[in-house]
Amino acid sequence: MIALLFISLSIPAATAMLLMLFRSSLNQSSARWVACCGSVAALLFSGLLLVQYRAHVVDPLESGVTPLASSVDPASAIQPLVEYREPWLKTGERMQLEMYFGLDGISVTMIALTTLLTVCSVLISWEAIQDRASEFYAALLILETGLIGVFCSFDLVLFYVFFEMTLIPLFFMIAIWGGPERKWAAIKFFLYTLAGSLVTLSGLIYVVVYTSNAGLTNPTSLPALSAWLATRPLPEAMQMTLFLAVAAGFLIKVPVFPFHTWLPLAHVEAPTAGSVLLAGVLLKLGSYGFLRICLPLFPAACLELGLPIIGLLSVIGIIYGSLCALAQRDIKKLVAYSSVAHLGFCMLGLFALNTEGITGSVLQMINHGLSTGALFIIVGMIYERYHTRMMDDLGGLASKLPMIACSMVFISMSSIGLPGLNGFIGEFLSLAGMFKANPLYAALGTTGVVLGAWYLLTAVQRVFFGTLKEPHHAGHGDDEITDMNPREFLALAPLMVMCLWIGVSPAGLIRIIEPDIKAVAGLFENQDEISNVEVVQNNSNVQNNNTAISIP
Amino acid sequence: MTEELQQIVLWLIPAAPLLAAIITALLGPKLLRYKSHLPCWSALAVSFVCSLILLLKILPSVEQAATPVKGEVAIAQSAAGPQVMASGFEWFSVGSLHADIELRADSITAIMLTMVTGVSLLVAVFGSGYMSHDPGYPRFFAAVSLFVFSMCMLVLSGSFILLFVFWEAVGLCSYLLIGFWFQKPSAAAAAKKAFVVNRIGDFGLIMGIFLIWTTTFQIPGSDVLFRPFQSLNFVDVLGNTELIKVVALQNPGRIPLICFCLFLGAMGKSAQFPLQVWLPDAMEGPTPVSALIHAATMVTAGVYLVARCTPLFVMAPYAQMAVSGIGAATAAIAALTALTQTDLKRVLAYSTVSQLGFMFMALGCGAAGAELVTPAVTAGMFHLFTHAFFKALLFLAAGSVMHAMGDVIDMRRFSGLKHALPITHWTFLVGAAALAGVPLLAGFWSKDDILAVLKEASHSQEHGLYFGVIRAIAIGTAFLTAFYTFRAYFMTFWGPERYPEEAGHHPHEATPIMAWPLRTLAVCAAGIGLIVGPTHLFGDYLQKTMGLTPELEHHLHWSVMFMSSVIALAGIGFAWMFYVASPAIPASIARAMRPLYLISQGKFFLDEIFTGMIVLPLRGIAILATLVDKYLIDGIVDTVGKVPKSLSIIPRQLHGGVVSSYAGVMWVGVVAAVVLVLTMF
Repeated sequence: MIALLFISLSIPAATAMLLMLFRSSLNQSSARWVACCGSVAALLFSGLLLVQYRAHVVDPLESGVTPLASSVDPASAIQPLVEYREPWLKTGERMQLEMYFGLDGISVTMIALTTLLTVCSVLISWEAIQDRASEFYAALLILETGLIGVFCSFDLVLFYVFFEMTLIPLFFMIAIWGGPERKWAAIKFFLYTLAGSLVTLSGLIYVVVYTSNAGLTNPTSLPALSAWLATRPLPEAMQMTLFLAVAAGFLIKVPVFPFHTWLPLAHVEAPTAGSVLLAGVLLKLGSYGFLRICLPLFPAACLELGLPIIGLLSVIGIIYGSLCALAQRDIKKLVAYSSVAHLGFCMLGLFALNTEGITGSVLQMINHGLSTGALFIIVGMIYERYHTRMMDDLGGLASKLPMIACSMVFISMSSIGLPGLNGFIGEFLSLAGMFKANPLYAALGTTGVVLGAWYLLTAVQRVFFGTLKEPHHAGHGDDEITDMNPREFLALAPLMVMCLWIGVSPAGLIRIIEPDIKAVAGLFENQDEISNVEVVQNNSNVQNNNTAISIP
Repeated sequence: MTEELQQIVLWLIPAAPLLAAIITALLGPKLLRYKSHLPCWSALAVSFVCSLILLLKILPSVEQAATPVKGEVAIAQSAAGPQVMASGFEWFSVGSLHADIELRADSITAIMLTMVTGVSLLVAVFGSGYMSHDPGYPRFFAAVSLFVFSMCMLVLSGSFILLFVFWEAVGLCSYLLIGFWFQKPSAAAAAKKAFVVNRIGDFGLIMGIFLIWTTTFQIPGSDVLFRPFQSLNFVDVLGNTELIKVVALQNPGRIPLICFCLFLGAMGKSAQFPLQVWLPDAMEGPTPVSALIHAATMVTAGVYLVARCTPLFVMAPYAQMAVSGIGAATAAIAALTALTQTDLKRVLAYSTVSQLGFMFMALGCGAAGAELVTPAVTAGMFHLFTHAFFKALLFLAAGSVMHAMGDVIDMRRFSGLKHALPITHWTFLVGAAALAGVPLLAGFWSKDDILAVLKEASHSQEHGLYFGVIRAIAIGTAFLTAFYTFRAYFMTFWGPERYPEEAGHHPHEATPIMAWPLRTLAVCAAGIGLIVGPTHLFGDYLQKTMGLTPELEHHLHWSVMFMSSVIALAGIGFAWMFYVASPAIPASIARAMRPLYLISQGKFFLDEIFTGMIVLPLRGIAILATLVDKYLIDGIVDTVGKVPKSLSIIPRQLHGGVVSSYAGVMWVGVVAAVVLVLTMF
């Protein structure tokens, strides 16, 4: 299985290299076909990886394969079931750095999401990217490599390298192929997120040095670090400081209110493919970082600071993001602000610090990737046709573009959390988890569900319903406005199928990520589990002995 | 009937419409086109037959068989009452939250299912005539099938989570069907409004579910906390009244809080004050949709929810009083609004809101005494049942009028239609009489039950005065109901024959495909109350539901019946006097009481109040938020971004590229070095 992982990781990298090497001899048409083949191959291999992983983890006996067992210390909150470790650097007397690739349920699903969205991004850039296509697709595929790399890295060095590696291709994608304000947007995006992640880096270095001095031989390995800290937790004050330092980069990346202002700008200026990957996967690096690093390494600080502070910021983000979305006239900016709100749900679930909340959070990461990715694709389709994204210029498009309108209604419903589609399950579990931890935050967060329906359905109403209104210049000359073409359908349909599938039957997905989430949540809810067991045992007694219970 | 067969029958009820929805959605636009009604019709027929089997065969047999419980048969007797389960698949299971897709049917479900599938079958038949020239014909039937599927699943859900899922799903169908003619800006706006206002209710429902889920209970004298409700299944939450009682005693605020939250959900879906603003606007949808979703079925889901959760509400008398109070306020406001509306469909919409208020008034009467709980729920559900028939009939008849009048529905523009549209006329008359409460028709019996329960409640010790007021409102509203219904009837069908120009010269009567559903519903509206009401067939059947206690003695409330007959006939008489005998009276009254008239005609200005108090302030805050975002938050970020640049001012000047300044600095350096060296020695 590790071979499959390396194939999935190297195909995009190799394709990107190919595209760069032959960039002068490849024209737009051949470049996009090469990129298409590369991304589809990566998707196939990562899909195969997911299927195999699922077979090994979920019902191994039924599939006739041996169940995977983790070789990691059971005390660790991170339990990759597939791993590849290679000694890398030996520094000092005891410190042994190693290259640690691995896979667990969360990473394997996130990788599949990445490769799927990359294929969609290639398809959606097909006509939109005219000049320097070869370089564009190379950047896209390098971005994909970086993203896959983050999800399969289980040591801090690799994690950080891949984490930062994603910045560069996206920087170029925005700066070269973006909208009119692209330079400023690209610089702001790059510097803001980089500044944050440098603080994160300093925190990580401190942890590594500290634990190494205290006797840990491979302090960069996340499972080892987690297991070690489980028995010898850092002093609480130090945890707090380190938590804040490490969180800095992730807070900006997610982005959590009030660190979100780079996001709408970057989204509006980025080409559609960039927006899809930015919203779909790149933002999740933040929440993924919290899940992988902050929760296992600084559990006390998470309880002390994470729940009250980040929980509160998430709630504000949900309401504030929704309100900002409501006031937007540019539909792409609206979707960008909706991301702020949706990732608020994601963070709310994560910092509920219980199984329900964290599961909801991970599902929300995937769901937001699918539905917001699809929303950006649809916005891109409208922009390609009318060269405007202003809702005031558009109206009643449903009569002219029925397929796009249907997809938009479908995806909007998924995004506003209609049960039966994917968005619901993540939001519901996140809010349920938070309700257990802090009912007030959950109640405030739930108002975002009402606001979400409001702003998104308003956008649908303004753009697609009512009497037909198109910009004056549209439809003249040889570019007749037509409904969705087969290529666009191919880009959108898989996402919609996944939305429906996850909505109707999330159990399969939940089973893949369940063990990993239990491992993390176990850090926080041991006592809770015990009382749950009591429930089962006590219940029959209580029901039978109702009269015996004396009520004061 | 074997258990397997039972499961198949149970699953067929929702599965058939779902299949029809999928087939119509996929094949409709290209292949089926104007035959798109066929999958829908056949699926609804299958559902209806299966519902009847469930109602008449399966549940009674379960009840008989249940006495000796043995083995692992999926039948549970005891506190849960007779029920049938059909297992499905696990939807999700995370931590202590579990949700399975499975069906559970008991008495209340069976009654709802029969009503829903029966009415929707008739509406679908009518719809194929009504929509016959619409380009969206396949879309209409796909959405209607999807709606029936969702509604069936809503009442077949055995747990709060699944109920919530389909609670939202019917909302989606409502959205799609209100916005069916999406080219009309008003329809698009109404669809969005319905969805968003419903979401406010859903907020309450979801909070209620979370509250139930996190309810904990402490065994006195020990520290162990445990959850009294094993899961969110109805059986676990509602099945054990003793357990609820214990929780209520230990944590007095908890159960009322849960009930208020659940009731907020019900208020949204069932259009209760102040969340009723979406329902009149929902009339923008095609008329068969108004009949099916916004009169007979979906809007009653809130009543169903409150009735279903009776075991919880019993422990929260104040929540029950709120239910009654809100119901009374809604009934009165809607009836007063209906008095002056000129749009026939809107009159009917306000009447729906008002009748839903009646149902809630009844449901809350349990607060007046434990012995009233079962009659109260029975009365509310009985009114729900009869209302479905006569209100669907009224809407379909109004649709037939609209069809004949070229989509004009303003009553001021036509009159005297009784000669041109004879079938529509007499079916509408039956429906109107049933709604007004003319003796022996359906609405008479159910409204009687409600008034009787209210009378009992007003005689109770504890909250007698409160329920006395509510009873007075109910009687007044019943009078208004008779009046406004027959006002609409007389304005439409009596008087000089006038047609709008849209209708052409010869208004055409309903085609047979539209006429037969009208006739069928008219027969139901006339007879169904008499058949199942005074014979207590309905009550006895319903009272096997979990949480209700079967009543042993039945009695007819002669005095109430006499009084309500008088009220109904008086209302009709006044309407006749005002709109037939001397048509000048209404105008003079309107002049005399102009402010009141304007309030009623302006729908109590609730839309404006909502816009002014909620929508506009929120939009203002939204604009403020974007400004804050742009200038404050982003401004700070940009300022921080400038810090390195401003820090570089001094070093930048040192590296200005001017040779003379470099020379100067070098000279200073040399001097300093020399001085340093000299001082060292």
